[in-house]
Amino acid sequence: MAAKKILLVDDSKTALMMERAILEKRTSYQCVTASDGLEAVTKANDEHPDLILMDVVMPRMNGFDACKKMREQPATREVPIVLLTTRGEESYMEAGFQSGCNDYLTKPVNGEELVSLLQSYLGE
Amino acid sequence: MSASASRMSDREDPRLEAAQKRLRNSVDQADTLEAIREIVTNLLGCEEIGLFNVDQKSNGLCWSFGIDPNQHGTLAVFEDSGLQRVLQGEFHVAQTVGEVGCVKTPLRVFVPIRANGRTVAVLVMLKLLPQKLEFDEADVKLVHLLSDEVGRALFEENANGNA
Repeated sequence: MAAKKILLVDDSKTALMMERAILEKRTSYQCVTASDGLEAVTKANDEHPDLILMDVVMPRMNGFDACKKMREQPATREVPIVLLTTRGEESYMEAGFQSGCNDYLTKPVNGEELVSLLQSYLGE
Repeated sequence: MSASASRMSDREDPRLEAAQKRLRNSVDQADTLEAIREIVTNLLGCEEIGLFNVDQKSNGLCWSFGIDPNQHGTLAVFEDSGLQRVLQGEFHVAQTVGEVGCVKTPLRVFVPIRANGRTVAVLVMLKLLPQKLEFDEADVKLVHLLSDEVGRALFEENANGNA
């Protein structure tokens, strides 16, 4: 069976490196990356990920707008999207859910929490 | 835990691995400062950061993110925060009582930046994010890594450039 594929989206190289390291050490998921929302929308169409883990505050296109775009595209309409951000306020999370995300995690990322959440969507 | 087991777990900590790789791969001074911002924001949970030079004159702010430079122009504004110990090379967490019950919430973190065996700068994390409720052992290891790697990247000979 092919490994599940996750699209990691963040403008921070550090965040991408850490997320990739967590997932490579603790899961068998395959990771592809994008560094802003615009690139993520294109890559999500091309790569057909099983899940998208995406930062919110990014240049060119933020995570909320990218999420809305992905929900408009047939190829990504049903793909689970988890938004990841430093902002934990309820209003901010509500905006995330209105943009179409399935879940919301706050930074700094807890590795166990992240893996557990992704496994709830993708299985082990 | 044995020393070798401890080193093994350090190598397996994705945060330490990512932070070290990011700092060591930074290409110039601006990229090193961006790496510091990324690490402190994404891995430690703080969006208000100041880097202060340690010198004989002003101990002035040389770089910042998310703070008003006019209010934090010099290390002198933190004189009551265990600063002397930080200047001698110890990191320091200034704590306050949190809003929930009696949980202690880290308020400010002071990190000595070391180069050539001395403290050449101090990295101050002014206010941790509300969801960052504790500063644990893994955070301490990351702070020690910052102390050494930032000093090496910015202040030692052949570094990326003086801050």
